[in-house]
Amino acid sequence: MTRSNRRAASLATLITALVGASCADTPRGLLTGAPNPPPEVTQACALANTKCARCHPIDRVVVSRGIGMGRWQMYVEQMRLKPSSGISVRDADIIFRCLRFVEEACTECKQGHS
Amino acid sequence: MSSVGRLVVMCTAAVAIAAIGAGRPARADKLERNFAGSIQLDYMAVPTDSIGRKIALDAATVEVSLKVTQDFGDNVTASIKLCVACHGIEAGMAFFDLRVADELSFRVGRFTPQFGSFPIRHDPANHRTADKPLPYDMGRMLRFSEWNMGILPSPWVDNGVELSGAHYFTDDVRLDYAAYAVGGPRAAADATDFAYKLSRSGEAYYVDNNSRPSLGANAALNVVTGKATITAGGSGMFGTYDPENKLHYQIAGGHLMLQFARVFLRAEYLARRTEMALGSDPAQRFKYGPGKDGKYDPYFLKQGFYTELELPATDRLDFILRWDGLRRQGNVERTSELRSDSAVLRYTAGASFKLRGATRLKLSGEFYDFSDFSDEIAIHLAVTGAL
Repeated sequence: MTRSNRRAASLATLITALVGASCADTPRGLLTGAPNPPPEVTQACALANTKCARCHPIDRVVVSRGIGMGRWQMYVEQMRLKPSSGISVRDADIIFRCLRFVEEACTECKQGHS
Repeated sequence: MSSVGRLVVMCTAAVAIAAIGAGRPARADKLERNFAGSIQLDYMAVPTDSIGRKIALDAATVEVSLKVTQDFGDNVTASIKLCVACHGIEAGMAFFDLRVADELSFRVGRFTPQFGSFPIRHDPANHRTADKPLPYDMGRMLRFSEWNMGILPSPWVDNGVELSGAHYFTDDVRLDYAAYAVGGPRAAADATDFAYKLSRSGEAYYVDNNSRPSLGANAALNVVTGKATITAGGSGMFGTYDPENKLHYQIAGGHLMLQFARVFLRAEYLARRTEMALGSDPAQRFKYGPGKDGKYDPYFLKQGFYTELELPATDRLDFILRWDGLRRQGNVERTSELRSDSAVLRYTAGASFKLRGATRLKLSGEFYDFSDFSDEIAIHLAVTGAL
């Protein structure tokens, strides 16, 4: 095996390991800092993490906590309609369920602040 | 564009404005206003050159965006976005959205028309590298002046009207579409390529330079299967870019995105065919002579691609690998350092680390492989935050 082939093989192995780790790991994402979410919320937030990350890091959602339910509903609808969002009407309901829990669980968030 | 085309554009705009005016008065008093923004400070070093400024806008650059959105009931939204970047303060958005149904929405004002996949993530807080892929480069690539940047610099902000919508065939299969008329790219008379400064110069006014809008469209199919989502789409845009309305251009693009759990593989291809003014004495103006038929080819073709793999390693750390490039084929002006067939390939490896809240540290290394210049290395270190 030549030196360049060895390098390519090492790179491919590293990428494969990272892909595996990325797929296997279930990050807290939106639930970071939230105390004991019920299983259906954990499931809803797993979907929200996946869908939101298509266009932006999930941190953008976390930093907006405290805006209130009305605005979250508006945001979810706007994001659903973004081109290629991959968010269906059913997904939007599930994502909103997650965000409602995240909003209510954020004890240090006041309305209008995060 | 013909007078019929202009009539279609005017009618579309009129329908959109009228529909906005007629938007459900019962909910008009329900106002929701949102603020969002982002900041990125990026430092680019070019270790292969003692003075990187000779070939790039190196060192520190800042990108700021401040966006306010106001909902007027359920169907009408106004958005205004202020951007600060290398060229000063600009209005990145100033438009009304009217949503009639999922399948039909109107946008009128100043906005980024839908083209490809990257522009929707163009905000530095939304993508993992400090700079943009080469086809969408807006002045951060090395040798940007020789290459005249990418193919369609992002964000492309223009005045116009856009029709768009999404149709769900099932919960997991969705088609997005958009069609628009905007002012389009500009240049001076007798140009050989777009002159981007004229698109953001108060001296040239923020109006169409040739009384003919550019037309474009975008369509993409999204399919969700289990943990995977596949998006495939195509885009096109065409028009004229000179004041005399004689020089034509056409841009076409295709994009593909595969998402498996949190891993993303993105790929896009863009090609732009641009007509050049030959002038009264092409032999003096151009580097290469006429073809076998004795005629000068007035067109050049610029192609670009990128493919990137985004790998979130943990909650805080993401890795990104990107391969992108540009190729330009066609005659060049005598003063150009490019040849009739020039290319650049770039290899990028980077990481994005979450510091606190929505603040991230981005680090990336780029290797440029130029066909006409010596190879170069660029290193980016950026801090990005979302508000």
